[in-house]
Amino acid sequence: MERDQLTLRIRNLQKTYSGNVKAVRGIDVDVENQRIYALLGPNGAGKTTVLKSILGLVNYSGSVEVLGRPIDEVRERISFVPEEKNLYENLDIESTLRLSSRISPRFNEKQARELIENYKLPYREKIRTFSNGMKTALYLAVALSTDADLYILDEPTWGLDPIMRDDTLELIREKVILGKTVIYTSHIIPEVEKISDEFSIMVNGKIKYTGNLDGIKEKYRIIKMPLKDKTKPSSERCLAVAKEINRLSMIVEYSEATEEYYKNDEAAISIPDLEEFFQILVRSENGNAL
Amino acid sequence: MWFDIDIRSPLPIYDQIKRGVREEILKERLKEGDTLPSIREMASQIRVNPNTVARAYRELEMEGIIMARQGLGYIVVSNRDQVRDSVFDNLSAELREPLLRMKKSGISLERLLEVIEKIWKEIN
Repeated sequence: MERDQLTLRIRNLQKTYSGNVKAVRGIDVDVENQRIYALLGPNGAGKTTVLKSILGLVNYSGSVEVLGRPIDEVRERISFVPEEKNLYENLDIESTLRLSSRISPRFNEKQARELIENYKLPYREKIRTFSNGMKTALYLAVALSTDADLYILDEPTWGLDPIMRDDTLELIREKVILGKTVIYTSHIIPEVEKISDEFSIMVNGKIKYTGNLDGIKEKYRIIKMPLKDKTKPSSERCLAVAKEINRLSMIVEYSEATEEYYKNDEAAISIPDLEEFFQILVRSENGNAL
Repeated sequence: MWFDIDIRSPLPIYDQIKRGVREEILKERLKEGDTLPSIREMASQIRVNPNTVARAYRELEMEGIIMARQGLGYIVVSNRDQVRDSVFDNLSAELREPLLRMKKSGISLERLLEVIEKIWKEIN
């Protein structure tokens, strides 16, 4: 596959559910080949609807191309972990593996067994007795052992303990090293920080920011100051302003002038990490702005 | 060769990789003519994305520190004398922030130099 081919290209995607609920309000996304792209946002932002649209599981308006084609032509080159990790509750792992082998010729049972052993899941117990984390782990073991060019993972670490989560992040990174592309959603920011090449932050059906971690460290500064009547943000370019309890937080574009402007005892200036950047951006969109 | 990446550091990750490689050269754990780990190897060793490693290698190549050789990957084309200044500059810059805080707290230069001397003795 071409190195620079777009794995995903979305233009003006909109989705309105019945009752005039606007879940996605016109978004554009480009994901290059061999990237880990994370779609972030608070609950209800529309992340899952975007994934369902990519997979053609819901109707939408706008255009979506996956691996340069309409989804129906490339479906077998995609492996998907949905938000609801529904498995056959009356099967055990052995029969789940047999079933998976029958369903997909791209499923690698040996690899799945390695992952299952790594996750320490019991082979002979019915899945209905599993915890949420165990179900997620089994789903991941099957999906990540299925050969695909694009892995779409909706909350892939949901319910996992910290050790399992870290192992899973390594498995996801490994996919990119092997030349695959990964698109996933999460609301656990530190894990996104660890593995994503690029991320978008989605709020209320719109993408508010797309970039990468190194980019935000270079381009922006976070300013925090006590919230007072006379407090006003500088006229410098400001990406987001959020009013928190007794505190004003801002994301401003970095320049030496900005640095000087805020270098007084009232304001603390820092280089953003993703968690802070996300918090301020989301709060600012949610009406906690001035 | 080995170094650790701190995701939470204010330094961009690609920059941490560049600094790590330069420091390895300064410590002579990487010598002129040595081959660097491949992008994939490096990515999985230090737990970052291959694309980030690729960016760091590309920039080190533009700076004349390493060079891509057909079929061999990247090799080191500089020696410790050539990286000494940049490693020193980077490390010195890290002093700026604590020094600023000391200045704001009214610590005099004399007092500061005493502290530096004391710490220097302790670590030697």
